[in-house]
Amino acid sequence: MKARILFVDDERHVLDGLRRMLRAHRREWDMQFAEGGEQALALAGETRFDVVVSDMRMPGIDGAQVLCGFAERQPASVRVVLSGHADREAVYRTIGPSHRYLAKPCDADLLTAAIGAVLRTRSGVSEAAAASLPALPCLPSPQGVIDKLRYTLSLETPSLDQLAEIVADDLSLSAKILQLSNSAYFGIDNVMFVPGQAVRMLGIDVMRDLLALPGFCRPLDEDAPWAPAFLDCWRRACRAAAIAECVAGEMDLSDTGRLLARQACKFTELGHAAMLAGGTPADPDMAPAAMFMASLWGFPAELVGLLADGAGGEDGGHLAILIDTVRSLVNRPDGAAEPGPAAGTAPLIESVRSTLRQKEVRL
Amino acid sequence: MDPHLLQRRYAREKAARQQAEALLEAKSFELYQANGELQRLAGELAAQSSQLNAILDRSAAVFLLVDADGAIVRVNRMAETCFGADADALTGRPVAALFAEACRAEADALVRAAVTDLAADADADDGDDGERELSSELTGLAADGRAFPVEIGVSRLEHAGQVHTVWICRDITKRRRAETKRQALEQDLRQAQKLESLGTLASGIAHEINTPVQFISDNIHFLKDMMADLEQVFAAHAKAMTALAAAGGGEVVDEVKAAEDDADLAFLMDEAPRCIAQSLDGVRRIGKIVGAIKEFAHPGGDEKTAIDLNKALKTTATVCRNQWKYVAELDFDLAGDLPKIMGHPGDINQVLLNLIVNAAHAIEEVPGEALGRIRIATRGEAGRVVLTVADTGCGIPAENLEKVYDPFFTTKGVGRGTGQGLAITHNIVVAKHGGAIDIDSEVGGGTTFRISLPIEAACGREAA
Repeated sequence: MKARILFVDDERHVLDGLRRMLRAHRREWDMQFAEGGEQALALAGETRFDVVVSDMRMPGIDGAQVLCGFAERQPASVRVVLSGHADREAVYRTIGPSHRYLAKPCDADLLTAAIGAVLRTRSGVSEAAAASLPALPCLPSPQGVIDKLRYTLSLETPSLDQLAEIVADDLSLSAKILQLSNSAYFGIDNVMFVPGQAVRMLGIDVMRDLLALPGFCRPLDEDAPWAPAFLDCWRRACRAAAIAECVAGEMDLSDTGRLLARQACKFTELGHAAMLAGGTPADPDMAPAAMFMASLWGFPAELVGLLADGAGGEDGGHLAILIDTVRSLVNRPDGAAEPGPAAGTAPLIESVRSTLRQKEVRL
Repeated sequence: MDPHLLQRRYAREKAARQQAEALLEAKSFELYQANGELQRLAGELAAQSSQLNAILDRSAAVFLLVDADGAIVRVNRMAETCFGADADALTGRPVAALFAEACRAEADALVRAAVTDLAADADADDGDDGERELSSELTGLAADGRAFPVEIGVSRLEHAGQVHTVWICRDITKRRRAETKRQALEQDLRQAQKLESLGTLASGIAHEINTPVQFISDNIHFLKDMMADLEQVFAAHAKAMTALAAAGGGEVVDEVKAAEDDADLAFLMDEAPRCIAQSLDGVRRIGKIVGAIKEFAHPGGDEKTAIDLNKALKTTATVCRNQWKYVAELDFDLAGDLPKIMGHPGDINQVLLNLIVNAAHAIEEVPGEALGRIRIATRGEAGRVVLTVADTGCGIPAENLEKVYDPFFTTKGVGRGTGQGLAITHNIVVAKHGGAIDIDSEVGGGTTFRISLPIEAACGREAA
């Protein structure tokens, strides 16, 4: 079945341009075009859309209201902002209801790649996951983490280092910060792999604003039946990130590679955590859900790729092998079973192991 | 003679003498006392007088006592210092001679006006609405010909039946300099405000441009796809035409051929894809420039955030391309894994802009038409990021190297530079970011600015 995509803009020229430019995708996508917010919200009551791409500044009902409307009425829709300029206040209203923010002018290839990737990764997850993951404005964090974040930001001169560390050590906040910094929510679109760096790029004032937004973070309800499993996930993510960082330091990797290793291992649990938080029965294979979440939230394609199962493969290089190894080590309850590496990589695995022993990492 | 009479007279005279002696003694004593008092008073007067002289001499202001005809009667030491002549040389001269040619008439007028118009008694300040002092600013002229601005106050003094004028003058060179500086700073501030509002305007315009760029770009993409599809259709048509010609449909074939030639179809099919590719390139360039303006003018907060120096360099070079592209080629040699620095993005952009524009200006000074070269390199060093901007420009003479950071020091012509660029750069790099600047320059051989900025102590995880 063709994916149904709705484009919303108050300017006819933009809609016509998009319609013409996307003509090449007419066989896979069923595209509709709404001239303004009212028309878009009217359509929200009639037709189910897989993806909604909306401009921000429109007379009457603006883009933030359109996306809020869709988040409410069609929570399974993928919601993307495509905007030239919007004031901070309006942008803040989209944090939560929107998944991604593309800046105008958006290159045709970037737009089609973004929509294509999210639809492709969505097809890899169960119907229940495809419906529940886009409905999550953010993932829950342990109450203690949020308290720590709130306290640090309440100080007169909070330390960016400390903020970076709080975010880096929390799976949910890390994911949210990567989402915001890889999109053009704050005017500048970057390719950011590292949540800690993203915090430093955003700065304290923005972090303070974000903390006040409902769609930025929420405390974990520890009485929820899925809470213990979520916390397990969360801990595994921390541990995997720590191990990856340790080992990556000892391996022949580029600086970017070292940074990627940590993130790829941390976000291995992203899909699992999101499914638990979304109340979806857990899939045995969590990689597709992680990839869907990551591409839904606009993570860099390189990082999304590393979340795939067996990203190591035969030619994945040191980085992929490291990630595979760390994953299998972390996911084994006893830490004894063989990780089953691709042929010819045994010495490398051994070096990872010995590094781990040297560093006395507790598995 | 009656002895009684004699005796009485004797007694009387004796008494009178005694009385006279006593009187003399008393008077002598009085005299003695009066003399002491007089001496004391004289001493006091002398002391007061020398104190007054000392006060006059120590005064930082010039005091001139001038008679009603405008001739100098008395001067204090400051007058000697200020006008570079001793008291003897000054007294007797007309006061107007102390001022520059153009001010002399005014000085004479001041003497006349002070004598005739000013209130007579400078002490009676109650209920008197007459003016006490005339003031003006003139140009003083020292004995060595040096001219300097003076502020003067002239008052009238009537003493012992003679009318004088008292001139109190002050050399205001320093104050003038400070005022000029303040005015320049104010101008600078206005300039900064103007730039800021220009920046706001520019980013507003950039945002406005984004929407049309979006649909122009989309439309050209569409034309590109369309051409590819049409080429296939045309190929099929051509095949059909060949078949038709073979089947004897010559007339129709000729008609189509004529129409194709008329429209110059071969040319159209040849040019259209290139036209589309170039248009796409153009619209991409517009997008890039607009993006750079947006990023450059992006208002930063007061706090330091992580900055990707390589990206900032590219943005800045795009924004000021117009300044260098006609005089120089710009090369980047940027370190791949450059650590981020912590800083104020607006300030850092300002520094980069100053460096690039300065390099372009230096190259412009070199005679000849050949393009110069600006080479921008970044390197990560232990705990620091080092940026070098090297130009093949005119170079800085050794005697100017020390002065380049002085505010208002400029060798550029009026309208080219305010002399603030490097002063601001130095302040931002050294004072605000704890960095350092080195200049390596050779007249005729170009200049290299080397700026090192510390990476914020990356103590946290994922901090670097």
